[in-house]
Amino acid sequence: MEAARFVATVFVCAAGLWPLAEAQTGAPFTYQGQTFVMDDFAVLFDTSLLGRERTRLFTAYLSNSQEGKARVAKAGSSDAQIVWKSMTVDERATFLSVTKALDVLQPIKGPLSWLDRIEEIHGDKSFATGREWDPNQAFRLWARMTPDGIAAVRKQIPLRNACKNQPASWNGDSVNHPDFCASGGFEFDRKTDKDPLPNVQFNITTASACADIDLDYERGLAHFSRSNSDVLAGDHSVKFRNKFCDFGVRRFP
Amino acid sequence: MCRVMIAAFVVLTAVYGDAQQPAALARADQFFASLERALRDSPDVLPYVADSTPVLATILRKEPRTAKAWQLEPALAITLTDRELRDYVVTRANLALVCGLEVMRRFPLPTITRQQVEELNPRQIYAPAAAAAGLDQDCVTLDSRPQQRAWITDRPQLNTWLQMPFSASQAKTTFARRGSEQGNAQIESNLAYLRSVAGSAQFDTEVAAVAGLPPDAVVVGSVINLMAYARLDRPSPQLLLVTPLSW
Repeated sequence: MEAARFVATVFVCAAGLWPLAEAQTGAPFTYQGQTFVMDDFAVLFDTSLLGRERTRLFTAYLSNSQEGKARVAKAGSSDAQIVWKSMTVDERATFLSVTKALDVLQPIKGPLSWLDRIEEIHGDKSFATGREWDPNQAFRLWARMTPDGIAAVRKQIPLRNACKNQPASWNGDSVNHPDFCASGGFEFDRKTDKDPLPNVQFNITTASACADIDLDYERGLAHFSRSNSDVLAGDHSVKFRNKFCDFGVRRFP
Repeated sequence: MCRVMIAAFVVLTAVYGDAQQPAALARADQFFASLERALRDSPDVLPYVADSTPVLATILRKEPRTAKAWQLEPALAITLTDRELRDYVVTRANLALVCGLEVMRRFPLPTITRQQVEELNPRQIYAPAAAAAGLDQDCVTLDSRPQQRAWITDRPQLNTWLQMPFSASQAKTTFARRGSEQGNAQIESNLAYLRSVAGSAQFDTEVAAVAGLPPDAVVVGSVINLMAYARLDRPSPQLLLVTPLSW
């Protein structure tokens, strides 16, 4: 009798939770042979600090940037959720992983507050032309930073990884990326701790406040592969979670 | 009148300076291209940085990102002699070059995977002893094993590198023998890919500042799988330092 009651209770609970689980996680999708699930828009853009920052950046991106406006036009709606769903999974995963990493790396307020606005969200291919991005232009955000943000990155201010509850240092050296603002000026490059990967990389042009922000998942020669900054490729999503916690996309099942 | 003349002088100086910059960068690109050809045939950076040793050491001590690029703790870097710093960089750079070219002769970099590098394991060909010192199979970075930082933090660790039984001349001989076997077209393709993505030479005002040089005296560009810093305020450009290429 007790056993039957237990089974019934489990069944009722499971049946009750199922719609909730459905509502929070989208349908599984396959990317380069791996299956993932991505949280729903309502979860990703919720009322948490990260959710509010994502909402601020994404709505401003749709209203103000050339690419965002083009996406609104193509989606036939200015509703952020509709436009979000019209984006490719790799574009969405790039936005989610970069914003999550910046949220986790905290001084007092997370480096997300260093972003004034996003200009472009890059997956594997250009939204405007449909062509593959060059490897150093794929899987990243092109954004404008606040003056405080630029100063903080230049000075390499102490950070803390809130996911691991550990200090996070700055590290390394790399060539500057092309200045996407094409306005000249001084460019500099900074990377966060690479041990372990992934690190966050900022390429900044001070005069225009343009920043190219991506995550590097590979070291050595594998760093030069196209998928170096692709959070959905290989074991990158696992590496991301191990360093920066859940970003809203998980391997499935 | 005086103010007008001063303003005109400032404007003319700026215009002249702007006109000089593209020429300087073009000169740097030529230098890096010739250096790439030379290092491809003979992967040893020592002859090119030998005369720059004091500046190389100054940059590594004063610009932490360059020491960190070779996974050398900046606090340790400031305690090392010029010669120690140079020898450490040369050993690491030469290993990165020979192993990098070995990988590049076999696999296209745009689609390369960690597994391919690990299976080829060029470290085993050129510097098996470096495995014990934590060098990855591709000879570019130190690996980060659990509970162990991929970082040179003390002198005993550094001494392991300075005493590494890696011979640049032996590696060159091995490389030259293997270089004649196959893969030249693949290397050409990979080098073109790296050059196209890494882009042209750029001024590095931060490195120039720590080296005590004018802002437009130091340029950085890609050379095979390395980033090369060179000074331009000499009749011929001079290599100052190399770090692993990254973007």
